[in-house]
Amino acid sequence: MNPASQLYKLPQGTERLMLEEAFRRQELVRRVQDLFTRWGYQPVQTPVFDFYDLYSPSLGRNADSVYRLLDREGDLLILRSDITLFLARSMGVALREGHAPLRVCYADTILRHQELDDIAANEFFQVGAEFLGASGPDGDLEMLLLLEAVVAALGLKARVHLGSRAVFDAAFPGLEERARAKALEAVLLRRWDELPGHGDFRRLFGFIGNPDEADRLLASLAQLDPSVRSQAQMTVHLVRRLAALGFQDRFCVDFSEVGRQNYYTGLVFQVYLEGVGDAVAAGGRYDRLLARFGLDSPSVGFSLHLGKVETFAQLGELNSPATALPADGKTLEQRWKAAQKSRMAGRNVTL
Amino acid sequence: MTPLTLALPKGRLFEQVQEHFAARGLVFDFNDRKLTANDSSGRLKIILVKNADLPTYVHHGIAGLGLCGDDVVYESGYEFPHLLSFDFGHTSMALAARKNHVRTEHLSGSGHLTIATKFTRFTRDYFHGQGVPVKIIRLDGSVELAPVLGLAPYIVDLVETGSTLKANGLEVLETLKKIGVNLFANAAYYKLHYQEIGSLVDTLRTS
Repeated sequence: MNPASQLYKLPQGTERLMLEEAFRRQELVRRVQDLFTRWGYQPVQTPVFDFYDLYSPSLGRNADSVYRLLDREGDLLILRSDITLFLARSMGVALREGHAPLRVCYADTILRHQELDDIAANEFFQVGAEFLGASGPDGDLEMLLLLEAVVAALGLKARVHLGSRAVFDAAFPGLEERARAKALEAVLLRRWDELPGHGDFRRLFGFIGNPDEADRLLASLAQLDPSVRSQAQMTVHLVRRLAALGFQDRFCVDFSEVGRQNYYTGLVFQVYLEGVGDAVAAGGRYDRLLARFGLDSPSVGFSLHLGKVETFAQLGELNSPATALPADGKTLEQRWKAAQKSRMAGRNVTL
Repeated sequence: MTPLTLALPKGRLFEQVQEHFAARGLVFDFNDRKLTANDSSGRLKIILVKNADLPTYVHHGIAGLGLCGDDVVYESGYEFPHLLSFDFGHTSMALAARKNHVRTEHLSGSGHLTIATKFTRFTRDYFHGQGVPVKIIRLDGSVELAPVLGLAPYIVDLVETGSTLKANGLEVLETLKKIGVNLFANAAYYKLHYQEIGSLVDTLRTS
């Protein structure tokens, strides 16, 4: 028998869901998966672990939080910490150059180290979608519309902030890796004194607003290089296309969104929800990620941290198994017959 | 209008913060030992927390905004979008030892500095960044006693006037970092309230 101190100790970074909570999670996943199916996204499942060396160049800021272990042959393994990365590796092997555009989706757990006091992360279960072979702004727009549909299906009052890693890359070409990481951090943390380059960059990367405000800002930034300006205008145009479809309140231009993962190459976005201290979903374009795993294919995708939105999701009345009533009858056979009838009528019944 | 939530630290900074805010029309007070208060303009809901806990409240989004010294945020390990630096409350993180202390680390062969401090993360990162190995003894208060009683030859601590060091026969060997006081935000909270926060920052920036 374990001493009580062992029994009640929970490893940091693990999650247990039981009964009603587990049923609600299952229902959330089912609704998102149904939506993915209607949009033509096919399910994929990635392995729980893989060889560490394949992923290490792509981990960026997450390198410190991944779990590593040795297998019996002495190879260093990594536990699945980012489904997009694991999916890129699987697809890189499975698909051939010039493949037809492929829409895939997933719902799975990830494992990352979590600091002792960081109970807010809740990054254990992700649902997401990836559009492989999707080049150009139409691919970006499809992904954003799908994201909007997911947010709406869960009844979340969330706002999507759209930025671009390509704007950042055009603004700071040729920076060596450390200087580049520092400049990225300066934007993410709004430390404008540490951002290299001219003052227009501070105004550009500090901007959040609607497409008209973004146009006025860009017109007022005289020092912007044409390549930076053109990338920024592409982001604004995308938000304008979404506004034209009726989603002007759901999406905004935010040039401080430059992507936390270092594999992004173009559009990046994060989703924010009142009451949650971190983005609940994130995604973007990663045109060169699959090439690291043997397949040159432009792609775009997103993932949603279900744990962060569960308490905010509006699912209506759920037909929970906890509501099941006992069937009538003296013997089990009689109860089984009665229960079959009740179940046909849509009621939950126990024997 | 829903007020913005701001965490303020108890202790040395509080009165200066209260004065700075009041001078800009944001008047608040904590009566009857309460730990939450609204400012007179209705723009802020303020919670009063222990210095070291402040970053945790902001990280979890319980308070959308936080105000404290660089040292506190650095020790927490969290990073937040920066909004404004204040011109009050400045201090320094310094390495100190007993007056006329003679460095003997190079003779003992260990080569490392033994340092007593409350600021363990900063001390480790600073000296490792300088290529100096350190052995750290964590203390939560009265750090000046450590060299006097022989617990550790060095301390790393915040120094304002240096009078506490002097009173205990210690002196600053080196100023390691200037410490400022900043207003910062939970990243997601900033994104959802950037307009109101921008307006608050403009108010607080006025001289």
